[in-house]
Amino acid sequence: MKMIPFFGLVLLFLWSCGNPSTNAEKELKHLPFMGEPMLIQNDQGGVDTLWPALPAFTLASQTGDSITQLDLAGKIRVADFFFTSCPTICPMMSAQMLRIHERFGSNDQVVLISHSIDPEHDSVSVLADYAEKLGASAPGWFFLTGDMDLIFSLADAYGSFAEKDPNAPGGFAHSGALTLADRQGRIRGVYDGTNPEEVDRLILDMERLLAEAPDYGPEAVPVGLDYAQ
Amino acid sequence: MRSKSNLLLILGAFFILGFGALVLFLPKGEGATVKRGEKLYMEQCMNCHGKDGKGLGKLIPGLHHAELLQKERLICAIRYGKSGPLEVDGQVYNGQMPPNFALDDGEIRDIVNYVYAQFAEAPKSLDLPEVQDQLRNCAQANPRLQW
Repeated sequence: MKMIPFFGLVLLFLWSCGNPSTNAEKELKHLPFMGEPMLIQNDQGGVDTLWPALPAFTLASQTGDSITQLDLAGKIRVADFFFTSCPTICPMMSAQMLRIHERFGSNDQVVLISHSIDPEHDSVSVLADYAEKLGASAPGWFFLTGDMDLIFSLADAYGSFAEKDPNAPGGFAHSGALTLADRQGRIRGVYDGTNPEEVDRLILDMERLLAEAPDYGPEAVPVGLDYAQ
Repeated sequence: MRSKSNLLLILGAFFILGFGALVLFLPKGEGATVKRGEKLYMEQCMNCHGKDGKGLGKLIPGLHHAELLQKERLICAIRYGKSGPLEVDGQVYNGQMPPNFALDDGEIRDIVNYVYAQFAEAPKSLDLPEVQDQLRNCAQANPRLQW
């Protein structure tokens, strides 16, 4: 008889666990928005929720063309930060980006962007050679070079990391992250580009973003621009 | 008393069985070098050559090419790295393989044996003196240690 309250508690516990999980499943249909929302007072006396989107930039691609955020507008993008002479994790990241390119290469709603964090060495022609040997082609996959400080700050904006470090192999310390951003440039996921299983998940999440209405979620405002105006 | 001695008997039996299993299933001989080599390959080589040894496009050669698996080339490349153009089956690779001076002779043997077991058409196994002979030859053939 003493056991009855115990079983009651167990049942209560199981029941309380069961309910939120179904709610969580509903929420999981959409990927989360990463970063801090900006709450802005509007003219009607209410508050608008705005979401930080990726900043404006101008960099050169492997074809020598100038690429800006406008070339990516309306597309789902996957970004990474690498350098062609990287002796450590970059080949793994490139191999995983190549998987994504092979999967989505013919889809003009998807663009991959690999930023060189060693732009001094990785000129347009070095990137063109790298892309060709890897089997990557524009406009589905851009390899970008340009101002190093801009590229480092883009890495930061993408939730990744890159810096010069004479003690690191190859002279640069950087993250192996692949960042997924939606059509409005809002970051929706960061994945370990050296882990094929994480990249499996990234590919599934890209499918979810492709199925999502382009205007879903809070309004996006590129960081670095004066959104109050 | 009787239950205590039974308990001791059971514990003893478990100990003997467990130890026996350990001795039986511990990797020995060729199996052991390949097993150690697998771990080292995943730490030292997989980043570039891939878990499956297929390399990366036309940037990094795959390890199934017989000419790369000649022991003279393989052993020296693991220790001293490789730079400059490298032609394999008609494709020129122009990347850089870093040297690995932290690996001792035995570890190089283990990696070579794993690579042979995994990627060579006709798997073979090298012993330590063979690998050490070859390592001496790389240094003699190329005193600047640029292989």
